[in-house]
Amino acid sequence: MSETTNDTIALGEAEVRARSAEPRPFWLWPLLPIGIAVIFVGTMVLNDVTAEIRVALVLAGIVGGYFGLDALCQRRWGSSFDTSAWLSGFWLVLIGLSAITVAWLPLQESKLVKNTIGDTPRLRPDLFSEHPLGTNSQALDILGGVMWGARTSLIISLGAVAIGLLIGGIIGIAAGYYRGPFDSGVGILADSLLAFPPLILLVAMATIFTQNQWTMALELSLLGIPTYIRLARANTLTFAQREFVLAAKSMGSGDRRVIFRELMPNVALPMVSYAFLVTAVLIVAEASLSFLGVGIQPPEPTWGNMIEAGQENYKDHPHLVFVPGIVMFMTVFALNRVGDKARERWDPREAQI
Amino acid sequence: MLRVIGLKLVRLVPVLFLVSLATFFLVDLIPGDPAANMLGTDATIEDLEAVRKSLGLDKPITDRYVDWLSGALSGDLGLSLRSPNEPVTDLIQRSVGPTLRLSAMALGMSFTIAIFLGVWSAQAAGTRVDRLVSGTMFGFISVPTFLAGLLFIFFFVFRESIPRWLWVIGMGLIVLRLLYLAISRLVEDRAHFSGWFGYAIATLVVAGLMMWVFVQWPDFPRTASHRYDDNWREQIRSLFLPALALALSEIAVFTRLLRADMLSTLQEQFVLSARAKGMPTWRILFRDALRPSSFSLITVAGITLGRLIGGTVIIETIFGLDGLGKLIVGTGVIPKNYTIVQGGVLVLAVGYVMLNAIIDISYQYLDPRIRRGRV
Amino acid sequence: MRSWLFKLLALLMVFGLVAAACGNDDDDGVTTGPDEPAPAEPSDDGDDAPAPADDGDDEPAAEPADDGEEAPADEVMMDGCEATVPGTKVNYAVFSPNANMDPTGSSGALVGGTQIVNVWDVLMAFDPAAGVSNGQAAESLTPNDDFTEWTLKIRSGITYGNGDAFIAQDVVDSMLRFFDSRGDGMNNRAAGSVGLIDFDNTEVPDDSTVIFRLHRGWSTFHTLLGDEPGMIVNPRIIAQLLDEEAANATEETSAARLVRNRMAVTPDLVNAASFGPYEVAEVEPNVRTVLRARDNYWGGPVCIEEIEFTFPGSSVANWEAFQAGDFNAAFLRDPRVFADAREAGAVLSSEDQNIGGLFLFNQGVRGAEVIGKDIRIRRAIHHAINRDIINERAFEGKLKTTNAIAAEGTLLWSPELQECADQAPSYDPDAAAALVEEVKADTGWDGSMLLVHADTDPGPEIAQAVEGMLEAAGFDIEVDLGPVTTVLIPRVIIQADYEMAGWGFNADGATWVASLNDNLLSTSGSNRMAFAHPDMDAALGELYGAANVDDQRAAIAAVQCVWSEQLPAMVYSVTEEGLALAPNIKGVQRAGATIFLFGNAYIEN
Repeated sequence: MSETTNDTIALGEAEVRARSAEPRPFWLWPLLPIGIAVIFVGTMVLNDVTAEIRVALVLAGIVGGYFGLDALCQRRWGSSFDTSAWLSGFWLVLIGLSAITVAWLPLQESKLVKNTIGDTPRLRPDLFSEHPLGTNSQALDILGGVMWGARTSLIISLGAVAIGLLIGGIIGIAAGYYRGPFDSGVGILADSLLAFPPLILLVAMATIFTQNQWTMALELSLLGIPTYIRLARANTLTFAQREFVLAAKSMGSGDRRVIFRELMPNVALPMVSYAFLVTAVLIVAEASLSFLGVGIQPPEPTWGNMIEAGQENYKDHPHLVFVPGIVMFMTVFALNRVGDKARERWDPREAQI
Repeated sequence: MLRVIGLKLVRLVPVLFLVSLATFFLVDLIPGDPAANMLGTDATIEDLEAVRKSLGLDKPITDRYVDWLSGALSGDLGLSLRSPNEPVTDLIQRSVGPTLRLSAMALGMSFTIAIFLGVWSAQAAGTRVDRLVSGTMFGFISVPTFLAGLLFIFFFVFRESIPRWLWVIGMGLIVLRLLYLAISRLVEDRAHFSGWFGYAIATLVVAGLMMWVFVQWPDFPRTASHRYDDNWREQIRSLFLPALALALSEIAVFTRLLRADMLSTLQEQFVLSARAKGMPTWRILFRDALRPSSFSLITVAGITLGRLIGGTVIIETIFGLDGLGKLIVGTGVIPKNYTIVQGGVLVLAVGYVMLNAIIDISYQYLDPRIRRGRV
Repeated sequence: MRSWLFKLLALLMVFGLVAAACGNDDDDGVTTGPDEPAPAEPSDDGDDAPAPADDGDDEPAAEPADDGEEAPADEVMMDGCEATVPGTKVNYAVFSPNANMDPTGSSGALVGGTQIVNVWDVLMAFDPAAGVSNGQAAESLTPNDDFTEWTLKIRSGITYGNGDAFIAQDVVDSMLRFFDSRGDGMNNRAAGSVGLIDFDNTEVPDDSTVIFRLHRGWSTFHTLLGDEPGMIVNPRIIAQLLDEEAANATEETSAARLVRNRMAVTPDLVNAASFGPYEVAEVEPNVRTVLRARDNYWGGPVCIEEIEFTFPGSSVANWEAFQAGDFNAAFLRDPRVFADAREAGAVLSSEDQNIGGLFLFNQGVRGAEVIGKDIRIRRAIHHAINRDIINERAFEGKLKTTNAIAAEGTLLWSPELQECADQAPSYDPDAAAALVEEVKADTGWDGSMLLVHADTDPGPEIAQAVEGMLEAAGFDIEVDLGPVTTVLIPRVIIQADYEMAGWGFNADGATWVASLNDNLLSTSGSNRMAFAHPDMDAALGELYGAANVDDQRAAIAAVQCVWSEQLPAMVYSVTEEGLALAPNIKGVQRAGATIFLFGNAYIEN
């Protein structure tokens, strides 16, 4: 795993976004309907050409359609409109909705092998069939698997982020506020945690506990805590010198009051704005663990274990890897994209650059 | 200055102590019987008892920790529990080579590509090229490493004609574009010899490269396991895909970092005056602006190298490379061969902490702005 | 603005990078990929040997090789080479890397068998097609009538790497190491059978003869001399090493073990103590082994200069890498891969291992109260599991499924055996559900069962398919999936805490007797199931004394009949394993079912 939390953040801090000077020319808008038509042809009409050509058509349709949409949106909302960020947002909403509603949707069996014994395994994706995204080696529905996987991934990574925010945030604020030996102690602890190679630490943790969503969330939060400690501490340091904090102190407010009433609301916003990026990292970390075979075990679907099971023979059945792979990629991409926007907007340190 | 460095070094001691303590006890918590690791499926209960006794697992854990730590301080990390019980230091030494080569290659690749993309998109800030690059970088950083590895194997090994033809099509478009530019310059402005001539040369060179790479397209191996001979070409060929998979997200990190730094450097007085003097753009970018801009890039690259060495487990597993990550996870954590885990993690953690300290110190030393500016 | 120059430079450097990475692999002349169409003929001469021995053959199973010079091996050499050909190399993808070159420290067979046999050579080479052994470093091996006494004549004029002569006493001393090392962390599956030799009464009348006396008659004793115990380690070197290590030995770690560990990392020691066709050039235990041709091999010049054994990661990876031309020899052990390899016309030298896919049922190991004790449950499982569904889901329909302990097409199969095999319960989910209901009603058992399975590819798919089928029949299955060393061995062997486990006996021609006895005999220490039945013990006893292939078939059929009645475990497949070879590698000889000797191999240009 090469993505770690502090890495993504370092990247964000350095980013200086230049507003796009050249808007997309409006005459590109016909690409949108053309793109949609090409996707339609690629997925539904051409059933007897090779998969490569169909995939190429769909990709071309997506790119073309995006340009068309971008042209339309920039015409409507001005040239600073960020179409890809909005699309990312929509994707996240879609993933979130499917994670919430999956239990009630009329999906084909995607978890219990005992209900698929007579069915055909490894069906190819076919959008207008019973199994739009195909079936896996156990004849389980991949669409359902991907949606259940979204639920698992989100529960785990959001849970880990929440734990990290809470613990890391409180420790970090306290360290930044009190300074002194407590601060150094916390610093040393955070440094020690960061010194471990993250994936190896996770694999070791994963072999200690039986894996379910909650234990995984707990383990993954270890990855986020030191980062959040540093973040909260740094933000606290900037706020602790600001007038309103000094004023509260001089009016005789106790430490607890200053921390909870004055500092926490202000530090919380930038920290939460980082949550998107951290979530993206944790989704990848969770999938990496599943990929190494120490995460949640199949047939309980997660994106990582679907990819792991699929790679066994993805030479002949690429959809087993690529369908969950693409969904995961798009989710991580969307989180990074939206997270970047959020941080630009809400992190005070970012604004100073 | 010395005081600052001294303080930093003193701070390392508790960090390293905590790391060693955590490693030792964490590993001890891993369930499973290390003795089982020594046996095969034909073992009997009597074999097992004999092995258990020979591992000395009956001593209390605190004694074992003290033994281990004093050994580690003198460079002895104990013996592997797996037959033939080699010293852990030997195992680490042997597997650190492949990992180092892989990480260095990944770093080199990401550096080279990032310098171009970063400089290019900085000088073209706000244009379509810039947007394309930054969008692509978002894509790169969002591909999990293991997915990148599988993707590259699929396309470069299983469907190798696809990247090969994509290369031809992509490069062909560039050639056509250059050709068009050359011809239009020639038609517009015959007097300015260099204008069209440069494009003509570029067209030829790019077309030649396109053909050469197409013809010489190598067979990338599915696994990289047995190519560690003295043949550097073979090594590069077999490490190309795993290194590229690792490099993907680093390219994105470096490019964005460099672009941001370049953007601010390009606003500085000396760059502006150089431009005013009519210096060629490439000279300004690479001679004048790149050097001051690459300061933080180099820092990040140092940290990245440290991180890569501990983070190649998955790529090593996918590509069958016997490196440090695979040693620690595959023959250490999973079969509970805990001397390997303890030794391996300790070495990685110490290396990482030391590297960070060195970078931190040199940062303090080299860049006075940081020293003053830090909270 | 001359931005074109900047752009050009940028492009150039990107290309430079790509070009450097691409390199030129033209100089890689030795490795020839399997691109050329290859006739699907067996690569080794062993396969051309007359198939199963004549039926009425009264001759003992082990046949002496022809006298020295006219040994078939020499024929192969004729079209081989005059001397070692420089630059010839076999890149061999192994099933699993080898821990130790010392035969007593190696698991043997699949794990390291080929690596070590090429260094040590072997007394007898087993011919799986005929079920007999031929002389290799031994000239002949002759039993008496009841197979309790075997006379071994060794080849004369063989010298070890250190110059010592190979004498008959060495055979006994070398085999004694196996006997003595039992329980000292040694892990070799052939070692248990060494215990059948009565060393006290074994004689060495002269320097070229050993008379083995066995504790009981054993008609296939010759196979033991084709396995690790038949690889002779110069006992004088071992004695010297033991002396050296005596001072370092502790209560926990014996000197014998220190010697083994030293052998594992010291090629010079191995080379001095061995006389096989190759020497160890480089070794990284559990990672790779490089062998180089030995100058003075007794069997004539060794043609191939170097063999490098490495491990790409799995059987599938082995095949993919072989196909890509990275290897010119690849060990395969996955039915999907074999199907691909056949389709691609690869040259294969493989063997079906019987009882390769199997589910063990715990029938009360160490007095445990488990549901598997009830034969109705074992019957229900047989009814509930459809072998074809396992095949379809985990093996893409390419597995050779069978319900017999000797599959049709293997040497010891017979119609009588198949008849008995067919009497075992077959797929019938309704019958399974009815039985489960019945047991639930009778005993109050809630249907729960623990299935333990290895997580190596395609283990997870097998486990899931079986879980699904059993749950459809009313079982409530919990699956514990993990590596062999952390899940399978602890659960099945150490704690005996399982109800059903994915396993394999892997019985081939050479290992039938040992593997069935180890696993099924009521008194065996490695009987994982606590299965005990007097009929089975009697049937197994017959196997030891079976004089020829016919008798062996009858004995195995008898075992199958008891098996089908008592259902100690459920067989679902045979496992094919073997070597894919580049078509230009000739003369590879089998020294066991799937152990390969490269002593007479050569690479055609």
